[in-house]
Amino acid sequence: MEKKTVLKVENLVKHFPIRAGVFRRIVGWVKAVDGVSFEVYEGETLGLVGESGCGKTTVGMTLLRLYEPTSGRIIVEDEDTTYYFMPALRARNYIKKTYLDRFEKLYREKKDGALEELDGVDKKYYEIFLKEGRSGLYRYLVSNIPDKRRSFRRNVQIIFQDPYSSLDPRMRVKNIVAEGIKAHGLAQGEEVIKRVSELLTGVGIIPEHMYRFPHEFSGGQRQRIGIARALALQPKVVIADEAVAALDVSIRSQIINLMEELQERHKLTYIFISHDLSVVKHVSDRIAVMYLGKMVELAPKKELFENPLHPYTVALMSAIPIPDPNKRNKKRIILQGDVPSPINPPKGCRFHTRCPVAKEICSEKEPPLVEVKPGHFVACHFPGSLKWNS
Amino acid sequence: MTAYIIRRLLLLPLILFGITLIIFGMMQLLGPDKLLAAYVDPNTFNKLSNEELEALKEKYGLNDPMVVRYAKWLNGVLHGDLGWSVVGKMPVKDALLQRIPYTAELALYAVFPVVGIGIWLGMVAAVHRDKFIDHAIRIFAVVGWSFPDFVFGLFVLMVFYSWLGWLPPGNLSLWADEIVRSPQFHHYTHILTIDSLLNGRFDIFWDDLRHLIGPIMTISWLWWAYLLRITRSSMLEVLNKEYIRTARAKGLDERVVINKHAKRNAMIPVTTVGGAMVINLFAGTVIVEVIFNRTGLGRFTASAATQLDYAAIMGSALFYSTILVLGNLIIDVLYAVIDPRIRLG
Amino acid sequence: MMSVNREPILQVKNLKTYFYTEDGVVRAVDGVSFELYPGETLGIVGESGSGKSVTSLSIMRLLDEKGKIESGEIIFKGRDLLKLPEHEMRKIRGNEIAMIFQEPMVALNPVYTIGDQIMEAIMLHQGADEKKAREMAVDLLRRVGIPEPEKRVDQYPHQLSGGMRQRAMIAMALSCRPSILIADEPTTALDVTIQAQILDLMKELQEEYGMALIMITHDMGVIAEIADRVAVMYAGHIVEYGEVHEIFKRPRHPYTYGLLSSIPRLDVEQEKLKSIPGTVPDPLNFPTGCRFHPRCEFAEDRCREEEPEMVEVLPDHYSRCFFWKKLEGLEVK
Repeated sequence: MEKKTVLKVENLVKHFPIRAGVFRRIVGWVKAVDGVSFEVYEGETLGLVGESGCGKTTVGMTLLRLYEPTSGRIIVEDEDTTYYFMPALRARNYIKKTYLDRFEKLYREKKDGALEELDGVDKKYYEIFLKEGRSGLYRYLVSNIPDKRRSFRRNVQIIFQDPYSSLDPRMRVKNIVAEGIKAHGLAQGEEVIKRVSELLTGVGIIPEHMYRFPHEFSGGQRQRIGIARALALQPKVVIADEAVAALDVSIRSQIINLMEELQERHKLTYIFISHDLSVVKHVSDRIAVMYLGKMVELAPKKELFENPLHPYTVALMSAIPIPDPNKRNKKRIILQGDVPSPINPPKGCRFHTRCPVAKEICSEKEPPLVEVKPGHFVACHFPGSLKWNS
Repeated sequence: MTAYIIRRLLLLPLILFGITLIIFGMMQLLGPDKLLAAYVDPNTFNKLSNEELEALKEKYGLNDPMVVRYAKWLNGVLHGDLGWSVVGKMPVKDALLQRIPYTAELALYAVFPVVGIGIWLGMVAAVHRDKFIDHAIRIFAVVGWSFPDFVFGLFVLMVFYSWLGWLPPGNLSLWADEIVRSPQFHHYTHILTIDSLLNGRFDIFWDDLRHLIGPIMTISWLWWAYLLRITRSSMLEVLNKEYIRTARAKGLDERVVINKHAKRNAMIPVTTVGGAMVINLFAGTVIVEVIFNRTGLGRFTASAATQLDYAAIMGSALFYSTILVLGNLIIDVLYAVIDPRIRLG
Repeated sequence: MMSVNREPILQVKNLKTYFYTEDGVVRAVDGVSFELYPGETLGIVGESGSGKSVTSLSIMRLLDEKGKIESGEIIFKGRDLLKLPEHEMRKIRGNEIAMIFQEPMVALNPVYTIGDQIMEAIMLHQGADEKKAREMAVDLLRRVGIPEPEKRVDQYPHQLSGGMRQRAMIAMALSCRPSILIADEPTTALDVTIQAQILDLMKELQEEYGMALIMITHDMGVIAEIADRVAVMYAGHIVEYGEVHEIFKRPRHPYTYGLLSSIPRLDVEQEKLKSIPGTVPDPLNFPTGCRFHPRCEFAEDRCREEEPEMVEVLPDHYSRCFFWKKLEGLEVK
């Protein structure tokens, strides 16, 4: 069966300015995410794993447009959503540069023939361009921006890490969950209460408790409320940013199980962001490993664990303490040193400063992310050269 | 660090320039007729004909475009000429120089109770949290914080002057004033408390002190109560920090834990807030000098403002701003000295 | 594993530490007993509110003013620490028993240099002068794997990375060659690759210094990695206590069993995670009877009414459960 792509990220870049001095001049950039591309298929869970500073959370925030991407494209369900939240002028420039001017040039060179080399949104938009002309495509893209924004917000939701600070302490649970329903006009009056009860029941909260405040619930229950809030708009994609990291071990598995149940019931697509490879392994269908703003490896779960190719992936796997004292004496790969600063990432391969198998070329040339096997991508000059037996 | 200070110093003229622009602009809202009042004796002002008024405006350049007038004024300032003060009946510069020592004396002495008592009591209260002494200090602070300074000033006058006769208003007693003005009295520093000691006149020193205590109590009261509260909460926060536990876990004496590890960290927020307050003491002198009938910059500014003494207002505003900006610079430097995270980035 | 000398260096007997808060009495540690033998590593594992950190702070007598040690004995080298006057206790802290904390970010004083903070303990307990103490501090920093120790010694905590700060903390704790090191979640705030470095370092140093280690953590993986014996804490009690392989292989308390089966694992395939239902109990209001009974799949009426005692279910393996036999034959894979 052909997998349907719900979300596609192309060459996503997010740099944060560092300001200093009296005039707050920009003195440098934190290259939090530096050219990341991936697709998310309908109904799957894509795990995004990496250590602090690898950019995994920034990817999530940028997808949600809580941060404006520096460059790159974010495509949701065959529509380019990148410009939805840009100021009007920037959006216009973006559309002009990304589509109008490019298509005009293509048309001059190849006319209709260009269709064959395009795919996805490009193809779709080029067809409109052929049919309705430059101004027609422009109108198509910029019309009803507020509606487009709203539908984007409906389709993509987030579950935050900290169930303590992500719920407004002065709002009753009912209002926290109902806020989105009302804002998007999904229900009115009595209907709203009914929806909220259903949602709360769905996440294992007694609906009678909807008039309570967040502080009356435990951490795990709060995270359930956070999930109910995210699901209130019936989103297609849910970004879970360290959603279980702040929870106690015995509660963590409850929430993981709940999220899996809900995925099945509501046909959800998850992007599961976590620093914990064990959790990511449990929930994900495919896993992307990030290091210092780059994606170093992306593969289906089974493939990744059976055949990890990037030295960083291997080291990460070996570093995790296994809850079995019999496996204590297995040889670990201990990476030396700290993660370099994303302000001044190393030249060449960003991992070469800590890589046990780095060679000269690694410090000179940056390895591209290439598909070495169907569905298995890795960015390394010497994939598979670091071995480790678990 | 040095580069930081130099950068801030270079910025200083720029800020002052901005301030003069604002003050000058505001004064212009009065219009040339009102401004003219600053140049003419009010008794003759009403008797002047329109032609004479126009002629005077022309003479003082009040009909020139604002830019020209500002340039003239600024040029004067740069050459030490701040204009003529109607209230002081002398050049503004001289009027200011004459009064600054009085106010500086008042404000500087007020720093001691504010910083000393405020910070010290705040620390004591925090260390003895929820004990009797903490409650006592806090009640003291709440009372202080809820008194407006002018009410408190009147209260001080009533009790210590009217009833007890200990603390008289004004700058000096008449007899002392005569001696101070006589040529035998040498003005080394223009700060009277110091000069009187240098002249060996302990009676004058004592007289000066009696006149100072009331005003100092009045301006500092509100502020040290405030600083106390800030210090207490800052100290309490620091005492709950993990590095305090680390220090205790090392086996350090509780005195060392408090004096070495806690106090310096607690001073970081106190410096910012407290510093700004000390600067504000200068501003506080306006009310206090009026209540206690003291000669000084504050009272001078107050009367200049009520009588639209335009040059004097500009002059004192410039002086106050300079103090403010310099004070802020000192705070920032102090801040960097205490906190290596600022110093080393 | 080293041979264990059977004379304990530290004995905690029936320790009760309560906190008197505005909302009521929190019985954070409620009758905890264990022994620590020279050179061994005891892992104390539990979730938030289980009392594991309070236990360690009670040993050091570093509780805040709301916390009070109600009863019990803490025998260290033949002396009851709870009966020592404060000035005697200070000679033990940092000298004979040292401690490192979870967040190296906040556990180091931001306004003093690393060197200054290490030297402080050396000068205090060993009477070294400043020059000597400084040399020792540089040596310690080098020993814990901090590059350019001569330069780092004069740096402030914010100039070091998280991993380096934790190394500095360890250097500080080891400065007086303590016989016991208490590590309270020392790697929780660190990235996994850095955690691996720090755990390795701690194992190495423990062997070199011959000290006993109390490792407090919520992470079963860390326990399996480093502990010789384990105490599992739940709601102010130790619910299971024994040798590490035993506990992981044959848990005899339903909580331990549930915990071990609910963690996602890298090394084995799991279909669906087993989970412990309910929530971690509110320390102000612990359930009556066995404190785990509301979440326990094996609970019977007796568990609701009567509080179970610690029983030796296997040699040197203790469980606080009436029905530990129900867990026989159940194994965590």
